[in-house]
Amino acid sequence: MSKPQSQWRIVWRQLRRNKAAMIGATLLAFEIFLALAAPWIVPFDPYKQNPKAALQAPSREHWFGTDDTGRDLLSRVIYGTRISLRVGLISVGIGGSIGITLGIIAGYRGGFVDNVIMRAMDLLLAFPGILLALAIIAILGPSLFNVMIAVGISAIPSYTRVARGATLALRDRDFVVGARAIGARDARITMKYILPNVLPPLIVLATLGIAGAILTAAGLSFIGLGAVPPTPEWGAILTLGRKYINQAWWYTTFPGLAIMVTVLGINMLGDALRDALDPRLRR
Amino acid sequence: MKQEPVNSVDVLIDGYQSGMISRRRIMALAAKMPALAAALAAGTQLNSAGAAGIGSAVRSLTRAQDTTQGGSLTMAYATTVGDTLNQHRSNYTVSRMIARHVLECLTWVNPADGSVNPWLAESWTISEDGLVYTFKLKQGVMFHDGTPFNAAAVKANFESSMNPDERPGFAYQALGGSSFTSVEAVDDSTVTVTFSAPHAAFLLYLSDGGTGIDSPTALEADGADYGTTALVGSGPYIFKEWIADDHVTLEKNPDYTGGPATFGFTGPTPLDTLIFRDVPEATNRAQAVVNNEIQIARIIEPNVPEVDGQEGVTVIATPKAGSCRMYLMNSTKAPLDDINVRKAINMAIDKVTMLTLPGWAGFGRPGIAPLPSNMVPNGDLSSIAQYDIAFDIDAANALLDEGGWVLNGDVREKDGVKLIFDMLTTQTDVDSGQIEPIDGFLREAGMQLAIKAGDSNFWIDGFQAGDYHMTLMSDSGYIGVGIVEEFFRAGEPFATTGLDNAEVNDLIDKAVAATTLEELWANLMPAMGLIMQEVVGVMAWEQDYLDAASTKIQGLAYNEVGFPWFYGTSLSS
Repeated sequence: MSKPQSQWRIVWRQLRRNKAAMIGATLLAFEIFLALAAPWIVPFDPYKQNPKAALQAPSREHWFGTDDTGRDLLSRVIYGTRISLRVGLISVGIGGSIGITLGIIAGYRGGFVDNVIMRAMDLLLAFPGILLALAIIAILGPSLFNVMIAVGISAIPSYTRVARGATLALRDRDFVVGARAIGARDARITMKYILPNVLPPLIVLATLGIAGAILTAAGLSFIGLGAVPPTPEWGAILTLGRKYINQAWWYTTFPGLAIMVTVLGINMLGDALRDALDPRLRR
Repeated sequence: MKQEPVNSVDVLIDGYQSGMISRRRIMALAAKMPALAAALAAGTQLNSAGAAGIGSAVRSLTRAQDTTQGGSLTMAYATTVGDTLNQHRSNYTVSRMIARHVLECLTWVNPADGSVNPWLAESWTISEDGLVYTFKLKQGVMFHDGTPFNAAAVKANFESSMNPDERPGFAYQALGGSSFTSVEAVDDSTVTVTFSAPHAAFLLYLSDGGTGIDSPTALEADGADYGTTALVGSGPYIFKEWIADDHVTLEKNPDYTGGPATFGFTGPTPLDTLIFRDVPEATNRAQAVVNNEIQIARIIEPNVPEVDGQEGVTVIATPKAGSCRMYLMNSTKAPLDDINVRKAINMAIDKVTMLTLPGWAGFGRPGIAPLPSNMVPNGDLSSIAQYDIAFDIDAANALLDEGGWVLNGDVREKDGVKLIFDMLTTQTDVDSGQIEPIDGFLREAGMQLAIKAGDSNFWIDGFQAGDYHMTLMSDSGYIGVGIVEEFFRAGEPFATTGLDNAEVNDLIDKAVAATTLEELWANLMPAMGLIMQEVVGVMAWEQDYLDAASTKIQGLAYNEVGFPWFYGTSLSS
């Protein structure tokens, strides 16, 4: 008789068979490598300007060309990877941690608590995500940190709903009822029995959420509400480059490509993860 | 060979331009020869700003009386009417420049030489103490609605501007602010204006669109709607409509006979229609001219490369009337309370190289003093140029080393204080590419900027509260003394650099109260020298206004503030 396989092992096997997943994972791994190794691999200081080299086209010396102050764009795009991944992870961390907590509480306790939490989530969901983020930025002021908070807060309802739904499905399962019967505290039950079992769909949500957060942050920086110069955040580079779009195509193309490749890779991985975690789609 | 008369206009202008005839001589001749004065106004730039010490603008194209009639010309600005076309309430420069095509003014400042010329006021006298101005008004002028222009109309206009129950516009300060006492219609063609303190720049301000004369009938009839649905003057264009955030349309006044001789044009303006359009993005404005969708647009330096060299398009640079573009510093906020840090900032910024960057596109000139050279008599800043701090990165580093500012990573610090300065600015200025390069320069000396960008309200509120280390600031206008007072006289709402030097305050006060321009400059120039020694800013550059214009435009002129003046302008086929 063969040893039963863990869910994660099954998922990993599914992912390995999925070409899109592997491409996405490879892209993401490459981005993570760039982010971690940036200080050692960038050819130039991303903040050092060289007026004589302003708006130079891609060349052997400057693979991605230079910006309007002569800064190397390749170095700035690489450094931007650190910023974008950090924004994505922290935003998801904020939204996920608060949303999952609220969702589990709402699903587990039910009744009045569930009503209050879910009506609050309905209120937040009434606003389109980007508008909610804009409103929060307007209160807190433009900065990268505030973008993370804004994007995180606007993502809370999604995590809350998924967590609540998953919790409701588990609440009356035998192992949960049994744990309650033997006197386990609610906190222990939710942490030990419910949370690990609601994680799979939330991981998919978080993965896709990182891509969304990166896009939203870039968009907010593009309109001047996110990263402030000279921070080499992709959206901020785009907004400075747009007025040179007719003379210096590289200024907007490379940060734009970086956003595209990152979001594409994460989405590919996230989609494959969702398929792998859906038991109805498993072979 | 035919001998040209020695007093022919062309010979005189050639003589002046070759240096054979002095500026003083050419101006004396122009006062007696209307044809010479008109030619000077039309096509010749005098390199000095005149004894009046006000902005001189380049007249870029030749004006001709016999010219193509008809056509519609469209000019694009980022915003045309920021608040209202009612100049008694407006605080927006472009709004005043547009209104000036509909309204006529009591005087007209000739941008070629800075002289003050009669317009709706044919002549004037000033009392010895400088407190009472008596104007003799032009007769036979009618507003577009048939109301006659007279002393009562002037009185109604000035009283509207000075109405304490209404929000003050630019006109309030232009007419003397709190020193304005009264305006009286002595008879139909005579009006007196009385001040409680001398207002030496009064005649200059009367040339601005902000003090243009509206029909009193329309002012009363339209009430609160005046300036939105109606604007009635006596000028070469008649107001047709204003669609907020979209456009203003003006039409030819077929009954217009002309203004001062130095306009170089008489009779109705050639164009049938003049449209001012709102196009917020500078790149879009530039492209619209290149694509022949509009004929002229105010652009910014980064747009120049995409316009320059395009067929049928030219770039016109006009020295801006106003202050230099300055990176002002708040000397009350650590670490900028250390004058050596402020000096090091000046030493770290290479103004010459800065102007070569795309954010400046090679336009403008390195700044020296709070006022640019085109705003001072004869363009001469030599008496105070010695106080300008030259670029020297080694000296900047040495000065900071001496002061105990030690490099910790990328930034110098001392006693836990880092040399990172909050740069308060607008997102527009960040997008223009004129903020980040300063961070790049400062980093060479171990200093950095923390850029705090927002909209105009955010910027102005922060500036007035002194909530900044540095900020990019300037003001436009051709009254230099008012601009220096605004930013550097302690106690003024925009004087937030922390400068409070008794001698500076005294000199500025004397300049403001001067009864003659000579007296004004005798005080203002040394005041600027002292301001420079206090190092409360980097006098970064003397700015040019830039317009992308179709080469089909003929007879385009510029007013004293550096904005297009479309009377006499036409379009070639």
